[in-house]
Amino acid sequence: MPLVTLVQNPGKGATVTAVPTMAPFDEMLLPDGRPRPDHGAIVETLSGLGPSGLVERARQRDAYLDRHGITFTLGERERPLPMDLVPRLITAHEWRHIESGVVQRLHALEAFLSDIYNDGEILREGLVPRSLVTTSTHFHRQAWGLIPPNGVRIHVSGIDLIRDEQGAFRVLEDNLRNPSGVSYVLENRRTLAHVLPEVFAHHRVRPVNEYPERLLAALRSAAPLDVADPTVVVLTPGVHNSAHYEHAFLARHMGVELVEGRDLYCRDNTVWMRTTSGPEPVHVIYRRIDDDFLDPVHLRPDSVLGVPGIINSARAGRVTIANAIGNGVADDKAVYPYVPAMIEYSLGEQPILPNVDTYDLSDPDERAWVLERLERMVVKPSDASGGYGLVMGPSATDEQLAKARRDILENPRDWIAQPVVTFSTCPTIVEDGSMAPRHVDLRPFAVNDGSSVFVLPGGLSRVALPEGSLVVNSSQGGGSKDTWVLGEAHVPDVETPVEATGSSVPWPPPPAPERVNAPDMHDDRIIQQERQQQQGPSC
Amino acid sequence: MTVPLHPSDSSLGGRRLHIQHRTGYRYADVVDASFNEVRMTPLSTDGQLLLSHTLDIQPSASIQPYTDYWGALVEAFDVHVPHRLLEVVSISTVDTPRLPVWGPGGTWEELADPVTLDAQSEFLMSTPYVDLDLLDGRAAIRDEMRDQASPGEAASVAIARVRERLSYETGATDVSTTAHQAWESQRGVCQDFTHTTLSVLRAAGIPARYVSGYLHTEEPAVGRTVVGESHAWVEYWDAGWRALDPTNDRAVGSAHVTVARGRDYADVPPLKGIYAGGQSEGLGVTVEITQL
Amino acid sequence: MLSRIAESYFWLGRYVERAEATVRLLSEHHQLLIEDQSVPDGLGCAALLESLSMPTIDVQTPRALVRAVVGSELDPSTIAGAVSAARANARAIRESLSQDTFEALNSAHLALSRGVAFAASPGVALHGVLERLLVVNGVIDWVMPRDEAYHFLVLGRELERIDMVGRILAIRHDLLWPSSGPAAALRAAGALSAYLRTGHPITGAEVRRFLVLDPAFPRSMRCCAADAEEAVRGLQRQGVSDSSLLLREVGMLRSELEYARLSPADDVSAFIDESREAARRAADEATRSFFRQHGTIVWSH
Repeated sequence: MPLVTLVQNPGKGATVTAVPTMAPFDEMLLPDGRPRPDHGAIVETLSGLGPSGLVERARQRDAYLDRHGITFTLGERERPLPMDLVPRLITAHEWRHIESGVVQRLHALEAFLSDIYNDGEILREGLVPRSLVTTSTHFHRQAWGLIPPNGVRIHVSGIDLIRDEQGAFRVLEDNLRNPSGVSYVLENRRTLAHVLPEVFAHHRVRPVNEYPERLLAALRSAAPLDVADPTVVVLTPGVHNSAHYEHAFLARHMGVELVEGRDLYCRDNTVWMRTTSGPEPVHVIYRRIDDDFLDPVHLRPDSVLGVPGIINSARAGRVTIANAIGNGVADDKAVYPYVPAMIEYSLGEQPILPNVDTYDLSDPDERAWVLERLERMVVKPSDASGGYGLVMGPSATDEQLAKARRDILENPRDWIAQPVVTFSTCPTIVEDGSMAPRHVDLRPFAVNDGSSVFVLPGGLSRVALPEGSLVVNSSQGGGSKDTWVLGEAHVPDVETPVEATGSSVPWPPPPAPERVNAPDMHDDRIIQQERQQQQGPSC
Repeated sequence: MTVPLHPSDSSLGGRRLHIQHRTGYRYADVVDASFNEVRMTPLSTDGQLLLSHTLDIQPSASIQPYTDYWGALVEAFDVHVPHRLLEVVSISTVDTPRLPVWGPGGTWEELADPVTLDAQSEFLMSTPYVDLDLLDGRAAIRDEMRDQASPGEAASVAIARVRERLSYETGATDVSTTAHQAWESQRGVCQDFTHTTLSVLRAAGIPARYVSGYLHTEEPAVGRTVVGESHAWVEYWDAGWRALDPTNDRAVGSAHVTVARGRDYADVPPLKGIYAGGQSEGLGVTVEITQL
Repeated sequence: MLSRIAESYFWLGRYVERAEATVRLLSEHHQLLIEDQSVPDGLGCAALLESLSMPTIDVQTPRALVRAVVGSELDPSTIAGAVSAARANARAIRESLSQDTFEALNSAHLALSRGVAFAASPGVALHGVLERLLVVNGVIDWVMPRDEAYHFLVLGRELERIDMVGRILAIRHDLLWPSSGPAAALRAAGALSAYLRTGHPITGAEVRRFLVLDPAFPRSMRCCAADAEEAVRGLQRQGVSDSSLLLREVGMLRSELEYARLSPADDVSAFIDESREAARRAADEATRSFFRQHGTIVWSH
């Protein structure tokens, strides 16, 4: 399928035109009901099972999720994240596009954050209004001048994408603080392979299980420069947090401690962990608690979740906080319209993944235009995530619309409006075991280790389970799908021989092709040595 | 930038001041740990020059210095020995600038320029201390401000009206008093005069910021130690930053030592911190200034 | 191992033991009040409540007693509270705990919240809860590796056991119910058949001596102290930081009980309070050396 990149006027002054209501793009089926290329085998396998077969598999799935305690916490209750049995496919071609777009966007966002927390050139140039940055709830002046050891601020990101009516991928929002959901990406794959192994038969799906290893490597490379063997920990707010399952999952799979604030303390700018064998120094904190709660010395003084002194320890370069403090200013929805301009400014490139049109409600003309057609708009609080506070015009009550209008007029900076984008649908198994189209989005997870950005081939596809719903957030009752990125069709399989037994590998291995780039070659040699060792007689 | 235009007038010459600022906390119970930040280092800025600075802490602690977002020199330290008393003594020697003589100011139009508005937006907003609605219901003052030919003249009006309203009285307000509360109670100290003036200026669209520092209250006299003040005053934007001392209604220059600037007091507290354990009381502040 | 995690194991051990021992004690006491009417109900109820450090007012009937001791999730000295606290600690270490342990605790919690106190036969309902708690301890003993976590859990369990045996003996069954009391005390400790095998007469003094000093019965204070000492030695082998004060505390208790200078006629009562006191000191010492090096910190400005 050719990718359609819509020409649009990115950012401020988005073209003010009426959006005709269009049919959503269905990712699996063509308008005539035939499956799209690559999707035939899945459709066939699932149809072969029939509704009763699917209901049975769904039962097995629930038992599996329950047995493994794969849950998220909503309110006081823990519940399994509903996972649909129909996988979502992304072709190699589509994935290349997504991957390059995500990497490009992250480079620009890193540059933006680095700039505003240092010399503020972007602000002086007037590229982004200074007042927009300084009024962002998540702009933390306490983090000003705090330079991360390897320069990375967005160690982990989850940039939410949707496909519009033409099937083009667009960025819906950036999540640069504590994006969650990656554990479900890994668990969904395991679960689906467990309860529906036959759907995997006809596809070469790229694996997702290298994520913890990649994350650990990125966190280790973010450590203070003078630490040879850094201690990494995952900092969680505790068992009552909705994403606690994920925090524990990541700690377990990275083989690091899962700590709470009370397990740590700062002394003379070093962060220590309290253990039964005495204090142990900590060098990298992958924290899954919000900025405001991190350090009562500088942020919320009543926080009991954080560690007093941790910000000054980071400032002194003795510990790295990942993700960095204050990233939220870059995923503020009122800053989002300026991201395409940041890409052009800092990279000199055109955005690969376009934004969704967004109206700046502090501009009187755009505000008036939006208020006239509020019932056709999505209104979102500019500083929130997780779908909280979102008002979906077409389905809102008069009362909700009136409230949104009042809120906007009272504090235009705190809200943004977007036209309702009918994002794409995927067939999803509904209660009676039949399949029906449901709207999905995609959150690809990216890990920045300072030398490259790794985008996990897969990502979290969230599906709005109620018919017609466009709200996919798990906190708002959304489910998820296993997301398959298909391998390239004809790439010579260079990795396979390494895994094979010694006899089939030429010895000594053929010399690596000449490289211009010295450091890369060096890296290569290290890998080669490890490979050679695996060829020993015991293999 | 406050650039003195007529540096030749020697009667308005700068001074070399030795400043000793002593403060701290006394705790009801033994405190095992505390984390603190001190903003007591005079800046080298606008003709002011810092010659030396030391910070003594009891119990002793190692100090991490850094420059914060607002440009202040911060000294951070944490104490991990059990203690009932925390004492901080900051000693600085600084050359103050000659009294600046201001050139002509800018116009209202220049202040309304979107580029200026955006650049100075942080100094045009309400904060927990500064209240842009302070003059609601006092249209006379607001109109008078607006009717001035230039922002500079409006600033003089602001000072005059604040001084008419507030009388200087120690003990009537405390560190948490807002501009609104001070205006209603009609009393206050330099911090309250400053927050009130900031409110009136910002409400008129004039960017204005809080300055924390010291005031050498004596006429120039070498060698005599006087008890000075931890002081606060205002800088407003009028084609450059210009300083005003609403508490004393005097020019800001050789007797003033600039330490930190921000939107309000919360951005520049000389000593702040958190500690583990019961109640605390401030030790009070003594500032001794000697002209060298 | 993180201090917080170690502390959760310690308290998991304590609370499971507290819940189990209290269920047994309540169950026996309820039975005793029904069977032996020689003591007025109010007095009989008060004897148990006092030994559990619970308020005695308004509890005049066996049924009210069951309700008070089953209690609520909010009070960790009641059964429901102890189970709930055990579950909260288990939740904090769920990652490293087997699923069975958590499920067994959860079902005990559910059984209690369904209203044991109001069941037609409290004895039967309490037995159901007891069974689940036995499963928890059974799973722990069967599947937990003998690592640091296990030793902390056992340390907590044994120190709590010493305290609970002390509470059973504080009731003075022999004075209130001279005929059926001493046997009830043995049953409350799960010790009746073990005791009968010794061939000693069931008298108050002999029962006390058995529950304090018996070298073979695992719930005697002496055996608990030995197990606690072994747990601390286990911790030392795992390389925890300084634990010499803790070892001294449990080691001295064990040796005092093991080498007690007593003639057969002497009463052991003096040992009971001393042992409980020593167990309390040991718990404080464990807290000081492993769990909270810096005290609970509340930050002020």
